[in-house]
This record gives sequence, C-alpha cells and structure tokens, in this order.
Amino acid sequence: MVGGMATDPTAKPSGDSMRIAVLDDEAAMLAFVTQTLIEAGHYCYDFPNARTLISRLRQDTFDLVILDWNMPDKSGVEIIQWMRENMDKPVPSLLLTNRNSDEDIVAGLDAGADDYVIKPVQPSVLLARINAIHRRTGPREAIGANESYGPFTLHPARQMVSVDGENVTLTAKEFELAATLFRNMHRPLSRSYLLEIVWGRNPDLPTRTLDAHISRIRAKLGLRPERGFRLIPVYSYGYRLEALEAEDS
Amino acid sequence: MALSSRSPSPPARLYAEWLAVAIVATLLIFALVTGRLTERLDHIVYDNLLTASGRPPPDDILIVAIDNRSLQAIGRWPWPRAIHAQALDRLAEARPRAIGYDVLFVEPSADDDLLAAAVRRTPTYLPMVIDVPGTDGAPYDIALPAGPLKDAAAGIAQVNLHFEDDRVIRTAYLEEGGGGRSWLQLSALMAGLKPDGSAARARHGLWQARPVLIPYGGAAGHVSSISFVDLLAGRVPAEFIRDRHVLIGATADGMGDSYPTPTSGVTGQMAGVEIQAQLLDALLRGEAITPAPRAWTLWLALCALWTMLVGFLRLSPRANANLALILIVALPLFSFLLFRFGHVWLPPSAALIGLLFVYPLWGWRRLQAISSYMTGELRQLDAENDAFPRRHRVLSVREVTLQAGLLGQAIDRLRDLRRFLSDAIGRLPDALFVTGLDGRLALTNAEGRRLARRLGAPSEVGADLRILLDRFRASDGTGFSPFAADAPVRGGTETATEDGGSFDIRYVAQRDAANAQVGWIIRIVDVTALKQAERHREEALQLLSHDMRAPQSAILALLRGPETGVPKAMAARIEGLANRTLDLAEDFVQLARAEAKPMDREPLDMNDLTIDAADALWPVAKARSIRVAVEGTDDPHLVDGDRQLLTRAILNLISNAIKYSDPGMRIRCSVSEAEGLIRVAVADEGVGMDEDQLANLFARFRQGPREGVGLGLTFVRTVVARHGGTIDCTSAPGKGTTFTITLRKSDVDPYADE
Repeated sequence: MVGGMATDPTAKPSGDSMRIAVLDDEAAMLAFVTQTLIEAGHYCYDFPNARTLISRLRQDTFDLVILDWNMPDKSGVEIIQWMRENMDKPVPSLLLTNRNSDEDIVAGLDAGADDYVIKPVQPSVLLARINAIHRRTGPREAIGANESYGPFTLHPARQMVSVDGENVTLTAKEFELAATLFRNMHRPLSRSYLLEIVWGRNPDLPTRTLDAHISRIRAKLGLRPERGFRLIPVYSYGYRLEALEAEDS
Repeated sequence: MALSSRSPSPPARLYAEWLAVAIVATLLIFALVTGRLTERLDHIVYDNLLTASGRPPPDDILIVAIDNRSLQAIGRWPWPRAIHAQALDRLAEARPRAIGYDVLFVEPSADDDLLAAAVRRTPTYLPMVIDVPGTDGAPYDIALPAGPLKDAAAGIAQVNLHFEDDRVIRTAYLEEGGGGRSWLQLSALMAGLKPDGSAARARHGLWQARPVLIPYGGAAGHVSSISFVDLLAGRVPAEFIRDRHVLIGATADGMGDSYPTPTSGVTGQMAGVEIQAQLLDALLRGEAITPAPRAWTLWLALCALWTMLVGFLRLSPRANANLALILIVALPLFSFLLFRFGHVWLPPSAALIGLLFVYPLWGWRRLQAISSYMTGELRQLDAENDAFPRRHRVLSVREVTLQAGLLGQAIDRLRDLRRFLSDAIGRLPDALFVTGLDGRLALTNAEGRRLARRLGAPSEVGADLRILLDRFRASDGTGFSPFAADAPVRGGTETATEDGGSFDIRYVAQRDAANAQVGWIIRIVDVTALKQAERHREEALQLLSHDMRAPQSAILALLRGPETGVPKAMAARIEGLANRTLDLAEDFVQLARAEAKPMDREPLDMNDLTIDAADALWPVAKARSIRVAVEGTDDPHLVDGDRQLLTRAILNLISNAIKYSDPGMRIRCSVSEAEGLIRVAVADEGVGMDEDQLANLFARFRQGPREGVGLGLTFVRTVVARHGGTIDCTSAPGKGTTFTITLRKSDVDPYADE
C-alpha cells in the first residue's frame, strides 16, 4: 500500500464527508480503520509511518488525523505536539491505541488529542467519536432555541430539560452542567473545564461538588444506557457523555 | 519514660527552713542586745579601737602631780593646807586659766582661811564627796569643802568615776545628783558645761546622767605633768603654766587614787587626776564619745541579719559568701567611722555574732533540705523504668553513702542513655537531623553528614538546615520545610533533588519532658532505588499490556476488515478467543496495579460507582438479555477510596454475576449503610454454589492462588483489603450467589456542596 494514497469513497459520500489521515504501523488495523471510514462516506488517507504523515501534513489539509500512539519513528503524541508547534491551526486528532491505562488516557488528552479510543474498537463506536469531533471542530451550525438529543430536549430559556415530552426541573447549575455535557457529546471533559464553565473560577469549591452534581443529573434525567446515554467517568480526568444509539443501529 | 509533673523549682521545705533560721536568728539578736551579753566583747573592740586611734597630747592642760618625789621632799600625806595654799600662790603668779584641785578638803582645818585666800586668787574648782547610801535612810550624803573653801571655790564638782563590769574606767557621768540637786563632773565644770538638771529630776537615790565615754588620747603620762615639789620650789617657768588648765592631784603609788583604763594596759593604772585631764581635753575639743542607745544597736544588728537573710533567698551561695564577708568587714568599719567622726559608740558585736551565727546555720539547714530533696529525686529516678537493666541496686541506709550510691547510679544510667542514643542515631541507616525551632542543626548522624555533603549543604552543629532542605523539591515543585510558622507538628512528603534522587522526608516536633516543643526531628530516606524500581515495574507493565494487546487488536481488525476470506463461524470463534486473551491481559495488568499502585483516596459515593460499573457492563448484559438493576437510596453513601480500583472491583463482581446468570435473569446491586459501614451487595439468580463450593472458594481466597478464583475476584479481594474492608459471599444451589463488600463510611459530610 502506498502511503498517503486516497481511497476513493465508493460508497455513499454525503455532506458530512471528511478528509481523514490515518496513521498506524499495523497493516491490518490500518485496513480495518480505512474500510470503516470509507464505508461511512469519508475520504481516507493511510500512512504506515510518522515521517510520511508529517511531510504530507506540511502541504495538505485534513479534517482529522487518527493516530496510533506507539509508532516506530515518532509516537502519536509527538505528532500532536509537532502539529501544535508547527501549524497555524492544528488538525483535530484522535488517538487510537492499545494503551489503556488511565495515566495514558489523561496524558494523551492533556497532550491535546481531541479524543482517545482504545483498541480494539467497534466500527460504530469509532464513527460516533469521529462524528462528535467533527461536530464541534467543523463549521458551526446555529444552535436552535431548543436542542434535542434523543429523548432529551434542552430548553435553555427556561433552564429546563424535557425527557420524552415530560419536564424535569433542574437547578441552574445542574442545567448548565447537563447542557455542557450534551453539547460536548462523546468528548472527554476535564474536571477543571467543567468546574470553570459551570461554576466559574471559584477555588473554594468542595471537591465533591462536581461528583455530586453529576450524580444528581444522572438520577434526575435517567442518563442510563437504557435510555441510550451513558455518563462515563474518565479516571483522573473528568467525564464524558456518550450516546449509545449509534451502537444500537 | 514517665513524665514527672513536679516543677524543677527548689523544694518547699527550703522555705520552711529559711523561716525557722530567720526566727531563731532574730530571737538571738534580741537576747544578745537586751541581755547585754556581748558587752565584754564590745569592750575589747572599743579598747583596741581607742588604743589604735590615739590623740596628740593636749598643750593647754597641765597636771601638777603629787608624786612620790613630792612626798619624799615634803613629807607624808596629808600635807598641811599651808603647803597647798603655797602651791596655789605659785600657780596664781603664773596666771593659769583655771585650776581643778583634785584633793578633798572636806574636813575643817586651822589653815582653811589661808587656803581660801589662795583659792580666790585663781578660778579654782574643788571636789566634794558623795556617799551612797547616806545616813539615817537618806539616799546619799554629801560632804562639801570645809568652811570658807566652799565659798572661795569657783565651783564645787564631783569626781566620781564609774567602773565597768571588768573594773575598767571607760565611762564618766557628767552630771550626778537627785532630789532636785545635781553636780557636774570636775572636768565638765572646768570645760564650762552647765548642769541641765537631768540628774536632778531623779526622785530617789543618786542618779547618774549624761554618760560619756572617755576618749583616752593615750596611756598614763599622756598629759604633760610637773611635780608638785618642783612647783613649790619655783623650778617651773611661768610660761609653762600660763593660760593652761591646771589639774592638781595625787599620782603617787601609795595614795590609791589610780584606776585601770582601756589605754593604761601595759603600764598598769592611770591616776584619777589624769583621767580628769583626759576627759577635760575631750570635752574642750568636743570629742567626747556618746554611747549609742541600745535601740540603735538592736536596729543595726537586725538590719545586718535581715540583709543576709534576704540574700539567702535571692542570691547564689557564692554571692552570699561575698555578702557575708562584706557585712563582717563593714559593720566594725561602720562602728569605727561613727566613733571617729561622729563621736558616737555603736557596738558592732551583736550584729557580728548574729551574722556569724546565721551564716553557718543556714548553710547547714539548706544543705539538709537539698540533700533530702536530692535523695528523694534520685530514689524516684532509680525507681523509674527504662530500657537499661540495673547493674546493682543501692541499699545502703547511711545517708552519705546512700546519696553517693544513688548519684553514681543516676550518672551510670545517663551514660548508658547517651551511649544508647548516639549509637542508635549514629548507626541509623537513614539521615537524621535534630534542629532547634529556628532550623539550627543540633544533632545528626553519619548518613546525615553524607547526604549534606552530597548535596553541598553544611552539616556541622549550629549550621542552618534550611540550606539542605532547600535542595529538595516536592512533586508540585514547591519547597518543603517544617520551619514555617504554621507548620503542623508532624508531616512528610516525597521529594526529588536536582541530581535525580528521590527522597522521603518525614518530620515530627521534638518535645522536652514538659511536652513543650523545642525543635524538630527530621528523617530523610533515600528512596531513589525504590522509586526507580517502581518506575521500571510500571514501564514493564505498560509495555506488557500494550504488547500483549496489540496483536489481539490486530487479529480483531483483520477479522472485521475487508476480504478476510475466513468463514464466518470460524471468524466468530477466533474473535471470541482474541477477546478472552485481551480480557486476561487486562485482568492481569489490573491486578498487578491493584496490588502496588499508590492509592488515590477521595470521598466517593458508592451509588455512583455502582451505577458506573453497571452501565459499563450494560452492552454485555444486554447482549445476554440479563437485566442489571441498581437499587439504592437517593442519599449519598460516601467512603474514602480510590475511584478506579473500587469501580473496577464492583464491575468485576457484576461481570462475575453475568457470567453465572442465564438469559432473562436479573442481577440486583444494592448499596446500604448501617453503623458507620457501607455495604455494596451484588446478587444473581444463577446456579449458585453449595456449602462445599462456597467453603472451597473462601479457602482459595485465603490461600490466595490466582488460578481457581479467577483474576477478577482476586482483584476484588486485593482492592477491598487495601481499603480495610471485608468481602462476604452467601450462596445456595439454584438460588443464586450474593457477594457483599463492606467498607468504612467516610467522615466527609456528603451534603457539603449544598
């Protein structure tokens, strides 16, 4: 396979199509990811080593790079750092790796990766994560008066959430937290990010504040897999809200 | 070591002793002064003082001595009054200032008129006789100079002398009398003194008033004298007599008119006439000595005594010795100066004796009190237990050897302790530093000095330990020091040095026997090797995890990728095996981490953790049509623990339950709280275990082999044990199995955020 060769999206290309670069030294993995993306209608370019990817990044534009962490020449994390240092607008990145320890996840996200997915991965999960990155990094759509996520509808004006048409009353902070999580679906949000967005810069907050609020909105809204959503703690980092519909379909 | 609640101040007994000494000494002073017990001693002092001071012979007083030569020349005594008249005539020619004729002319004689005429030529004073007691019950009788002499004399005076207890003449009473009359001493009269009637006021008897001490200027012969016979013979030049006070009196040995005086010492006695001459000299010059009232003596003695007594309480023994010495010198000096320049005699003996008495008395009592205090303390110290066995026990009953024995024992124990301490600290394999509150180094050991040398910091006693502590940086990059004003009494942290070393620093407040903080004890352990091993282990684990996972992931990717060519059934089986290998690798790495990973404790709501675990397994459960229900109250149930480890432990229990459940079954997870304990129970409706299987499971749990129980349950056991909790299991065949984790409830208020 020639590095950087575009695979023609023969399947159904749509308006949501992205140009995606994939880096992996394992040919089977590279083929699996590429196939998954093409089937979903994206334009995909595969790179077996970091050197060729970097030289391509210097002269081409991508919507997303999917990076393996452990590479023989330059690790995925190092490529993220290279992009941050050498590009005006770094390409959004997703780390796809076998490294599954919490320390690695936190290190990867802290290095600037937009998301972190552990191998092996189900095609649906991979696509959901890619779409989530695209939604928040791609061209912004105007946020309507009410936002709907599955059975949940946010009513920002009334600071209220309705579930299947039934209204659930939240406190101001709870609504703010729920809205932040919904609007950043699939994105790992660090504790400090959530605290700053919802509470502002307040250093005297008890440490359990965030956990207690997460616990309450999960209970009040029923953010459980049965309803198609899962609130996942990212250890030593923060939380991520995940929609499971993609998997179901 | 047992702490003594006693203060280290001197025993109260010392004050009692002091009070007793003060009372006894004060009473002694009263007795000495009021009982005149020191009079003899004062006489000795006074006599020596008098002899030592001396005075030049008076040039305005002349004695005409009726001496042995005169008796030989004129004839035996008494002489006819014509002789006396002749002498007075001779004197009158030379015009002396006044004459005191210390010869009694009380019995009438034929020549009285002749003598009276001679007496009138010069102001001449004549003596009288006072007899005590008088005749017919009168207190006294007087005999004045006979007939015309009485009127011819310029004045009549008494010449009574006063003997002290030791038969020495020191004092003369200037005035004597009683019942409204009084007479001056001959010399007082000649010196021009007037009677002030103080003696006349006495109703009964003869009263002596106005005492003076005669300040003898020298021994007998001090006052210049001429022989009576020389005067008669005209052998004395008139200039020798002119304007002088002339005293005529007997000095001849046989006439009996001589007395011992303080200054007559070696030469024996002094004639009465010379005593009068010396007194006259003193009165004329205003140098007569007044004896101080008894009260003065008392005050002086008490002042000296109480100065000393206050000194005993306030000053050191050495300062007290100096004070005593100063007082013993100063008291006689004070007496002397008063005597010499103030013409007052204040006897110092009572004060001196008081001092000489109280000083050794206090020394004795003080020693006694301290000695018994020391014996008590040493006995108590001896009775206290410490790490060292007694070589011998002191059993002596004699005080001297007992104290020495106890002291010796105490010193031995101190030596043992010091040796023990220096050995223990010196050979300690870790660097140890003892500092004052300001960070000044008081003690360290070989390791401590080696560490300081390595980091280029001083380590000698008195050096500032903060220089060394500045070389260490905590994980967040800040410095570390217990010397801040608000530092807690104990603490510690892991730190790193610039040369890549890792050090564990612990410190604790150092306290004295009274429990007051006097410094810090700081221990620094080099954990570089340990840290490195930990890092290597973690790296190895990560590599292992990654390298084991990578091929499995690749296999799965291959199977899911394009153009596999593998039959679908085969692909499913390979996928299953790859997934199992992945799970095993994951379980293995997780267990390894659970056993060694430093715990990251925080207050956690077990409700949340259980939901997180159940949600994570939702796809697996759903795939097998098994429902996982989380039942709990809405209230938070907080424990202090590691979020990741505890979540995974519950996840493993649920995962285990799913494994043993059939499709359509339910798994109930419940969180409850009772008596400060929080329980998480995971119950399935699966096949269950009989008693043997259950006992077997727990036996294997206890023995801890990993195979048999499964890595998943071993992980649960490890995590629960590290959190100080317990795990239980109840099961019955066909009725399902329930695993229960019990953990201690957190002290954190779960509603603190509201």
